[in-house]
Amino acid sequence: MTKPIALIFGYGSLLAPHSINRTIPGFLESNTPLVPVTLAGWKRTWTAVYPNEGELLHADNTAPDGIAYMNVEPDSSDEALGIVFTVDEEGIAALDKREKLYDRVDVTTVATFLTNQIPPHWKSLPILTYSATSPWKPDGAIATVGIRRDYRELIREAGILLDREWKMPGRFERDYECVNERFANFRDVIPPVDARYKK
Amino acid sequence: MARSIAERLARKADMDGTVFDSAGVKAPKAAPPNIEAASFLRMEKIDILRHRSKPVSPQLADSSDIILAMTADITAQLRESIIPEYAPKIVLLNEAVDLSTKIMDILPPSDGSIAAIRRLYASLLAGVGRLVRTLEDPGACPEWFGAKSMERKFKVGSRSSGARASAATIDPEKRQFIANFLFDFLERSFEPPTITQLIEAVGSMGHRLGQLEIEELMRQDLHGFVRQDRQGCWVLRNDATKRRRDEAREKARARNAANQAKARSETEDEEKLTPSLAYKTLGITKETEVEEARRKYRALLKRYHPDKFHVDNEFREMAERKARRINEAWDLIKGELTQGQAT
Repeated sequence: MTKPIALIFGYGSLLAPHSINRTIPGFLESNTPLVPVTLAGWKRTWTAVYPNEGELLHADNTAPDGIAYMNVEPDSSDEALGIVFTVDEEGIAALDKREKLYDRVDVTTVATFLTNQIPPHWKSLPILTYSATSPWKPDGAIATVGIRRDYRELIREAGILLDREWKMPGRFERDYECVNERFANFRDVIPPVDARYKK
Repeated sequence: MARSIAERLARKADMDGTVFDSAGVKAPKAAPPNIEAASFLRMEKIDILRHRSKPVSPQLADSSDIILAMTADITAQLRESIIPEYAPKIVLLNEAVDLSTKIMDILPPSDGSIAAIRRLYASLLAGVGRLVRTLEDPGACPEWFGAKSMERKFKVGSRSSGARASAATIDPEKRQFIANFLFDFLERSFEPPTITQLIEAVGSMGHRLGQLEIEELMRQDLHGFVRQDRQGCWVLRNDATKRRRDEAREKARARNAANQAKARSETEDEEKLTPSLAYKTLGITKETEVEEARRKYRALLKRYHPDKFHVDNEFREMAERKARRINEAWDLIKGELTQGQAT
């Protein structure tokens, strides 16, 4: 890796080094440290819903309309936990391409490191993250949304390693309305159904 | 011959502004080159078949900034009888370049034998090579090279001015790179490359080295791996490839181990485990019941059991590190906890 120019805050698949390595080849070999960080005024949600283009098929051969991924959204009463890692210019370009459905936002001012052992040069780097501000809206009145199993496992395992038992949605959601009912007490994980998912 | 060598070396050195020409004291007008010399230079990939000789003339001397003579005799002849009015411009090539090393006078081939031509070629290459290097570095330019406008055309090399060209002045990293490159080049070559081919190959990688420097590199950095054959060409020793591969593997292994150790100490909170930190790691206090503490310790080990992490190998390693840390913490305070509560 050439000179690092920024820190990326990862909260979803970017919690996993092997997943980062898929976008930034050589990431695993470079032994870039991953450091836990919280963002004040942001919360982790499952609101990044994108159309299912055949990636997800349930055991009963039904396919949901959309797939939900992790997202971070502004919420003044909450804080979002994730990790940061350094990237160079090429890395940012590659991540932009990968997270093209998300927008890159600067969260330098609200980030707090959870460890004291931070390389000194990190203090001058901006902290960026990817947040989906305009998710996909399904065509029908009621959309079914699912979560990819590997993605869900990734989030769960990363949560344990970050000393946080994240409340996870169940096996998968069948119907968005019903999902919401079933996970009504998971407000920190799944937000209430929002008019924006309906036409 | 001298002109071709100079032109070629100057081209390598990005000295486009410089024009080289050659003329002979006794040379007839427009005679073709010696066929033996031409065929020898062909092997070195220099084509002089189209060159035609010309005698030294006042016009030629007038248009030149500097006139370099090959031997002391010719210098004297030129200064005294042929073009006395341009005497200040006339310099003996060996004097012009590097006064700290003595090169023998560059003699024209006494007979047409290949050995004589090779000798001439080698000495010309050394002399002209050094001349080009001298011209590259204005600081090292002798006084006779007074034309300021010309000086500016030449790039200032990385060598300190006036220093003798030697492999010792090369940056160690670059030197290692060139040595590796030379080794690979020898390995790839079907036939032993000539010294010119080596100079050119190194030049094509952006490093301008002369014969002396390359030979120094061969003798010092690739010592034991290369030897010179009867023709004076550098070749690899029989077991060189294998030995070098083993050496590289050994180095890579050491480097990897060091990297991993470094990365571990960076990512892990390598604060030295003190009893208070150990209590914190296990989430207990000194007053906690032994049974309660043991239950907590086991629960933590279970939580971070590496077999529970399937998504990512890195996750598994992180979990292993956590588990190791928990074990260390438990080992540190176990005795204290049981003793303290027993008394």
